[in-house]
Amino acid sequence: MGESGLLRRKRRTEMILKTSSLTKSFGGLMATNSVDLSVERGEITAIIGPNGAGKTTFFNLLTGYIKPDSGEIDFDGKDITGWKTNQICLAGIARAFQIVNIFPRLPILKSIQIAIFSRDRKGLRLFSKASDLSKDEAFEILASVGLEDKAETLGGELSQGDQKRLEIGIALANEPRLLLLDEPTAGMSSVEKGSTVELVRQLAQKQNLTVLFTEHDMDVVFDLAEKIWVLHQGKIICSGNKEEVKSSEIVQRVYLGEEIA
Amino acid sequence: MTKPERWKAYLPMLVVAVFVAIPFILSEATSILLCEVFCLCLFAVSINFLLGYGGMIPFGHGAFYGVGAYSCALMLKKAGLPFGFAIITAPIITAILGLVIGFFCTRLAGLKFALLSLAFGQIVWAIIYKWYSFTGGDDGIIDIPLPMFLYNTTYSYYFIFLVVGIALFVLWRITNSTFGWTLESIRENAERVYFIGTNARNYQISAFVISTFFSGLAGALFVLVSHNAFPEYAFWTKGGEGIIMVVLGGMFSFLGPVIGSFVLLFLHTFILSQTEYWPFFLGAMLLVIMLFAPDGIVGVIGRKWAFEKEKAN
Repeated sequence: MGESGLLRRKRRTEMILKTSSLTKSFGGLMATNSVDLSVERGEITAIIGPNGAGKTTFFNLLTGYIKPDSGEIDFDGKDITGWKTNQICLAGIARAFQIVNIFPRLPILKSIQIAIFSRDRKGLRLFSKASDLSKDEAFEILASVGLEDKAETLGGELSQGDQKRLEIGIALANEPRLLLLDEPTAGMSSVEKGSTVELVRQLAQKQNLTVLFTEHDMDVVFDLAEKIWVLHQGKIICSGNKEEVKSSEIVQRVYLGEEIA
Repeated sequence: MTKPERWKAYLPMLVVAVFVAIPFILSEATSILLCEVFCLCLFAVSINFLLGYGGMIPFGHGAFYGVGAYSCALMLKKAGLPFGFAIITAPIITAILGLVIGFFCTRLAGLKFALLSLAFGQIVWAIIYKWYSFTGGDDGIIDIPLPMFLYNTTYSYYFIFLVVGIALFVLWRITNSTFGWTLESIRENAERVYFIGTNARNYQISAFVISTFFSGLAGALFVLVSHNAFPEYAFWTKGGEGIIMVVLGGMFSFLGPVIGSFVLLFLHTFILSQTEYWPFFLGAMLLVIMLFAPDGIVGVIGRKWAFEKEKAN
């Protein structure tokens, strides 16, 4: 947070992600209700909200996993509304999942290498020898999430916390400009939580990443996020830095109440 | 540590040497049986390419074996085309059919994929079975003319051995390529693969086409062994036989179906010479494999190997 005001003001003009009137309903339920949200380049932004507020639906919309009923998604100057998941990923949005979603029977180094092949659009080469290709880079990525000494372990044999790290590693292999983390510390011990917070902060600084994450743990949110959006019943009800959100009456009423007080 | 590795490097050469020597050592009947094993071995490996690497269960793959055999047979017998042309074109025709059927099958996953591939396979079989004027129906196509040298068992053996060897090498290269690796990740978690920027379905269709190409080649080569083509080649049980070979030898490994095909056909021949209750022994064998070694013969050997290594360390 110790940045000069000039740098901040300069960055404020640059929005890497912008949604306008994004709407999605399932039957009668408005899962995402006319959401206007924007994320600044290089900033760590959090989306919070009670269970069922529509956070995961919002991520599913951003990554093209489901299509919005109406509204637009603008990523880095491109309108990506209606793009396919794999196209959006190649455009620069990578996602790590809330529920661990990896390749359980593949060694984790191999998982990372496969993600790199995909980024480099080398997957369809039938006769290239894959084992040594991009191996060093994959090692670096594993090192950056702290898994370098488990390179040959199968994904499914990692501990829960390490699988979450692998999730982030696979997402990083795509060299995203925007990294979406869906509850990165869910199910972790408080020690693991601390190291994950540190990991995300480091990645954002070193690789000049923009991070957008959802999280239930308010300590993690207030520790990590530079900007917070509050989602309630599919609607944005408040946004701002942590002081603004903490002091917002409406947020206290619907959500934070007891946790903040 | 270095000793078993050196041994491993010489192993493929040793295996090739043994197969080259076989026509001189063993009977003609054994050579003919081995020719059949080579064809089914390639068929089983092509099935495992989908099953073990791609995570798709192709129950109707017998159809592609049959189409390979029939394309080759019809080109030789009815159109009188040159042999070289027929043996190259037959797998290509099969792969084109594979593209059409694969396009629809890959829309579904798991059991639905298996059943749809079975349905398509049976349609293909029914067409071959009923279209008398073109395929000869259940009379099949007999006395298919071949080049002179292929009537000699030894030459025919070497020809099939060589073609299957090259085909297996190509498939092995593909499984170790970036394509093969990506295919494995699709087997593990197809949905996630879209989130690393890859359109998994295109890869599944491509894998289907590659697999059917080699299944078709296997069927076409079998014409050189049998000199005939019958609708049974395209029946779903042919694909079932291939899947049994894969399960017996071990999926998730390239060598699994190779070993499975050898074991199955030799056991089949041996047990039939002793008793008529072959299906009983096959069932018992599969039961043991499923219960005690779900990763097949190769899995058992691999685990033993790892165990010995650990003991040695």
